Amino acid sequence: MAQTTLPPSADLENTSAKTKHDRGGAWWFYTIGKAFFGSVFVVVALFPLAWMVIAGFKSKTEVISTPFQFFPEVWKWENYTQILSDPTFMKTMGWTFMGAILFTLLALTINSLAAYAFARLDFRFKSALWVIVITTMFIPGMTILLTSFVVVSDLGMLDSLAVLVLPGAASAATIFFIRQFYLSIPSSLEEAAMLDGCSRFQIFWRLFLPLSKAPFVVMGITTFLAYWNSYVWPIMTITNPDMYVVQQYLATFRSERSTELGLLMAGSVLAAAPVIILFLIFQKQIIGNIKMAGLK
Amino acid sequence: MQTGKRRFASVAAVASVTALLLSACSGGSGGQSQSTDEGTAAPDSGDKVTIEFWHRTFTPVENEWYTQIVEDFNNSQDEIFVNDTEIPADAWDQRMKAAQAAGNAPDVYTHAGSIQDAVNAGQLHELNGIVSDDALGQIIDSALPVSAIGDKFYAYPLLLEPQTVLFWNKDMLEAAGLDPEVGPSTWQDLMDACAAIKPTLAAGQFCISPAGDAPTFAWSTVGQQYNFSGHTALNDTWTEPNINDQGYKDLMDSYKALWDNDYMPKQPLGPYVEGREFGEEKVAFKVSGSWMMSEIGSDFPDVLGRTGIGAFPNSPNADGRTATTMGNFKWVVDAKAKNAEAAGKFLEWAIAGDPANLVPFFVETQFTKVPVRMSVQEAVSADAAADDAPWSAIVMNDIAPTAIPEPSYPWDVSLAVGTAIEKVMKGAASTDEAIKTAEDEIRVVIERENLPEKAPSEG
Amino acid sequence: MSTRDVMTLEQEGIIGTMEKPPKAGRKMKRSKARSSGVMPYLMVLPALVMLGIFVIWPAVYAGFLSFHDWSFYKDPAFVGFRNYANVLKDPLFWAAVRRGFIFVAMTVPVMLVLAFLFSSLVVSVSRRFASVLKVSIYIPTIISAVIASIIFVLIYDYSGGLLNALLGVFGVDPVAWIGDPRWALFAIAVPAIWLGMGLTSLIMVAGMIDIPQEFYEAASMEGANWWQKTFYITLPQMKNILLYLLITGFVSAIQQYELPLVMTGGGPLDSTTTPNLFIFNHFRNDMNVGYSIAAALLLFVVLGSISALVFKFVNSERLVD
Repeated sequence: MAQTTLPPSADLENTSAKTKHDRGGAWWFYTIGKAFFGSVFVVVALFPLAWMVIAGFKSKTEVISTPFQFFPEVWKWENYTQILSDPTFMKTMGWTFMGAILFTLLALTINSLAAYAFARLDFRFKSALWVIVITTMFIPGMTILLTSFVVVSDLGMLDSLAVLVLPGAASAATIFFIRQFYLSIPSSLEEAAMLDGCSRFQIFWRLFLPLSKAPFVVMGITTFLAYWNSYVWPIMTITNPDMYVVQQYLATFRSERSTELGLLMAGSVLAAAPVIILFLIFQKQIIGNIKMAGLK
Repeated sequence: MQTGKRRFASVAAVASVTALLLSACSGGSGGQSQSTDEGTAAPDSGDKVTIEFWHRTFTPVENEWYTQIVEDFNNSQDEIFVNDTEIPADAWDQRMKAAQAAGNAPDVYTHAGSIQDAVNAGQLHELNGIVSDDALGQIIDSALPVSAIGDKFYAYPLLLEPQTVLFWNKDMLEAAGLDPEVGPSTWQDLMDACAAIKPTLAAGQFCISPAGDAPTFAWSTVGQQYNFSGHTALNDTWTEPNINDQGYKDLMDSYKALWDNDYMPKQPLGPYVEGREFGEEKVAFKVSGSWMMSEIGSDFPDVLGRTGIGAFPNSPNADGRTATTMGNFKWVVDAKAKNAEAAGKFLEWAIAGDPANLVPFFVETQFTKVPVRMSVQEAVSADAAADDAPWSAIVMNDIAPTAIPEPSYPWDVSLAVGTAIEKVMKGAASTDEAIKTAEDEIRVVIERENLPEKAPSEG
Repeated sequence: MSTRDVMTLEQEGIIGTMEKPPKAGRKMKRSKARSSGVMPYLMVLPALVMLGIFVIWPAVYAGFLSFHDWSFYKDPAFVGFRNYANVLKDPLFWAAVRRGFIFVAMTVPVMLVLAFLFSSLVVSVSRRFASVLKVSIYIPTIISAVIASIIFVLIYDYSGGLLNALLGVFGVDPVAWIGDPRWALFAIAVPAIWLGMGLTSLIMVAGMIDIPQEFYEAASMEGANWWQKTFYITLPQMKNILLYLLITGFVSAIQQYELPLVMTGGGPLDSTTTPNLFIFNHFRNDMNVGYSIAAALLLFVVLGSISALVFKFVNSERLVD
């Protein structure tokens, strides 16, 4: 059982040529085993999604018909075309996307500024303020669901972009994450910049931001997804159908006394598609950058 | 709208962004910037009084009727503008709670269930004085318990609908050698029918799909509790639970028999309030509210002609008592409505005025709901389409007249009973254990909510 | 709500905090303490103001309400600790808390073990296969909890669901996955794991890749097998990451309510009423909000204490590179 762990950068062809010579049988055994387990992971991860796509092609009564049918009788595009041709859907997607981008930018801006100050600067009350920030990390959303609604209502923010974008933007978890990363940047860099006569803010702007790609990508994608998938907060604060976010739009297929299963599944596929495509485009950056800044 | 406060919130945000965009070596601070303003999309209403109206998402035909009635009202006069909002069904409770907490609940909204709690909490505006006495006087007697307390009206009913009705698939009954036109009238008949039907079923089909979980049992079996025991879950003075008797035990055991014999699925095939599994012909019997007929009509039109409908089966000791509660849907005016007068006018015009406004609602929902004014009942039954809805007579004449009103005690009391029924049915507890636990839970509620003080003066 | 309120809040916070904040990392050599007067305040101001308005103030307000009976249309009536007493006396609340911990035990360890196996696989295969694995495991993370709930409800359907159809092929009777109290919580743990695996796995992979290769080479010279390498090199090297994932996993699992809300509503027989769902259901059904807010605050105290303890511990423990 002396199987060496290959270095992650190892190239399969090279190693295969070498190891096949060394120990033919064992090597094949391991390779096939790994391929098998890897495939199991892939199938289990993607199957429910595939199921959702297939269900989107079914009519309302076919989705859970008895006896069970894996594929639809007839592959119907109606569910997909009906949603795609609905101008409301397209508008909702655009609106949600814009909100998510805005939310992500705002969150990264506010939180990284605070993270920098807490990581690199000294000021009065710093430790007290830090305790306050960290405390907010442990307040479950459920505790303040009602009272934060009363606050945004008193501020006159209901049915606006502001109510979707502002309340969740400042986040202790994000500040903590980015701060940990900044703590690990050597101070010699800063001192050099200080000698060049740059202000604190410029150091942050010219030096730290370009270095912050990794935590920004990780926190950015998390923040974006949180906005895209939010449901409970929007249904409480947005009643104007023109301002529905995408999860609210999907909820219109589940009314109290009749549920359009096929449409719902098709809609869910279409709602998830842009985010999945985005992820596939940026997957190298995202996956490459997921590191626990500061936890190493 | 509190522009000042909103400005403060968004200026803080915007200022931080602008601060970032300055890249001079002096590191300035953000200057003044305008707040990102976002007007709510209320259509221009000139100098009209604006009324907010919220209603729940229901079946498509109902949603269309709501939209239409508001539009018609807005076009009928030029003093009041009603802004109509449809709230998704699963968001209603928390949306409404939040709005009430923030003091901006809608002026007029739809309301289901008992009004007792809401009136005690001061949430509803009295209708006497903002709706004409003539309109209030037209409400039929059976709808009074859900709309008035003493001689004061707090809600105007739109409809009544029996919440526990038995539907059956005539073809499946016939295939089992049963009379497709007559449903079971007692629990024994039902068990016999299931015994006959079960051998004829394919895999994945079941004899009956009744309520199957505690919350549904909680509200949908109140009529059955009355049918079996002659009373509901509390004593008259609301000082003690009243569920420890043979009637309650028999009711629980009846469900256990359905469960043990595999007459019902071990997991609900669909929500109680929907008719999906019935429409897909997975079950011979389905228990639901009378409204299910209209769903079958809109979603499974080919099954509609083969659907039988009748009163829910009786306990052997029913003594002529009903087995269903009368669900209801009402419109109420919020206690904090700024323009209660205008809200009352809209309410009266829409559901307490010209019967012609209401006829489409009852026709489109397949004659499965009971109008609450004689004039509307007559107008609806005079509609040409009424002849194609033979079941409406069963709902109106056989089931509705004797149905009891929904309980006015708190939901937690009903839930304790519902949980007991589910426990016994699934064999998780004996009837005695389940009843004892439920009694304890009910006593906690009695104490917590101070129920003896809230008991209705008359039974 | 005004700036003044936020200021008072902050002062209260300052007065109320007696402990030192957690020391993070090795002390850097500070360049010029008390630097550039007002700049740090400008930098932390946006975050603090927004946290103040949208988190701290609502939390204080919730604290106030928890001592009152309030049904919105009459002035809140002060009832002292009665709401808290009602919650603490309620066996259903304790059952929900216990269930929350059971749910954590069902999901977090499984996720960690699976993610660890997954990472071990990823670092030992070709680069192309590794990226396919990483992309596939992350994609479910993109799906919202509500949609995931609906997909799994369809899969679990009693008559016509995929899972029971699969069992039927082998002649097994259908199982009431979300209708049977014995299965229901497990049935909800599956989508929770499915949704949570992505980020957990990728963080785990990142940590594993960072372990210097020389350690393994040296171990191979000594003739160590995979198990020995795992126990003596991989696990110790990844201690911090495992701890971090354990906390974040615990905090998110104990707060889970969207899945049971959509899939079962908390049933059958309360078997899927997680602590947050218990609170949410009370919030939706009660006339007075005092009870649900008191329950939420009690939960916050429990959660907050546990998280804060572990958090301090992780933050003070550092690996020597």
